[in-house]
Amino acid sequence: MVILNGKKKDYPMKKFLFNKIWIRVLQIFLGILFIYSGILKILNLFEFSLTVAKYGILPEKLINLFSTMLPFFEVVSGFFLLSGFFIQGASLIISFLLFIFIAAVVYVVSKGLSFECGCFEILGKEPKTGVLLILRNIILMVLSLNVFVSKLKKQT
Amino acid sequence: MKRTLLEILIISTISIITGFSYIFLKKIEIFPESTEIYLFSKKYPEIKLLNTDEVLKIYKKQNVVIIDARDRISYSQGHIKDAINIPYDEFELYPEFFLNLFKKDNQLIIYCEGGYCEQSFIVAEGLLKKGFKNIYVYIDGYPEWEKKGLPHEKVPF
Repeated sequence: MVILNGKKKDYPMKKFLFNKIWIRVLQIFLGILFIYSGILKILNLFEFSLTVAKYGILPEKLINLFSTMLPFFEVVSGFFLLSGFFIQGASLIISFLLFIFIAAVVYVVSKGLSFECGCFEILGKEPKTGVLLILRNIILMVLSLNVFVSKLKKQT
Repeated sequence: MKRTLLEILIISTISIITGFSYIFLKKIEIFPESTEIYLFSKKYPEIKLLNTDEVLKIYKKQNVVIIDARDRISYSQGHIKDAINIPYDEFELYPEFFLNLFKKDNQLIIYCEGGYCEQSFIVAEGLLKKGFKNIYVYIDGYPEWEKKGLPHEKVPF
């Protein structure tokens, strides 16, 4: 809402983005998505670790620790987002995780490599590292930041 | 902002505690000597990993076939004596082409450059899927074998 010529003016898009129902829908969507993604990784931990190794970003010694801890961050953050507690913290952690995923895929794509991404499957098929995956993660990060900003705005 | 930081701290603490509990319960090695080898051995426990001394004990047996999984140039520059060459990339494309080189009951020892190299794992995984059972990966690889002055040979490429 802005004040223009002494009159208050509402932007419909802004109104929609900070709408209570929209934010709740996002919370449920992102919450379920990250719980599902995290559980899938925990169930296939060794395959996931091998995929992390393929990215070639982390030192070999850190691969196991990172690939074991990451799914737990996903599940716990997803759970809090879904339950409605600690929404700001959970949405910011999820945004940060998505930022890491984007950076990792950009790095791999820039090296000309393409393999199964190690992220969640869609319709039983795991996407490969590529521009589409980067785009998907950017959209998810924007949605997660939408939740964070809306809650921060509400608080202030 | 203070509240956000506090929430992040709480969520991170819960995630780390549950993560480490899982590591403890599942007995996962956090800092293994070589992650690739560790993960591979966890995924395929039926494939045994051997060091140089263990290979020396069995490699002269009649039933043993030694497989060099490196590319043809590396093989020609030096390989374990009597080893046959199954380049991992060719094996991935045409596995059937190489399968008549040995019998199902042979003990197959596969090696590459040692340490982090994954060529042996690719060939070992493929052979396991084709029904071979006695598969071994020589983890120290050719450089260690050559360094110790053990029998090796070269062939012109």
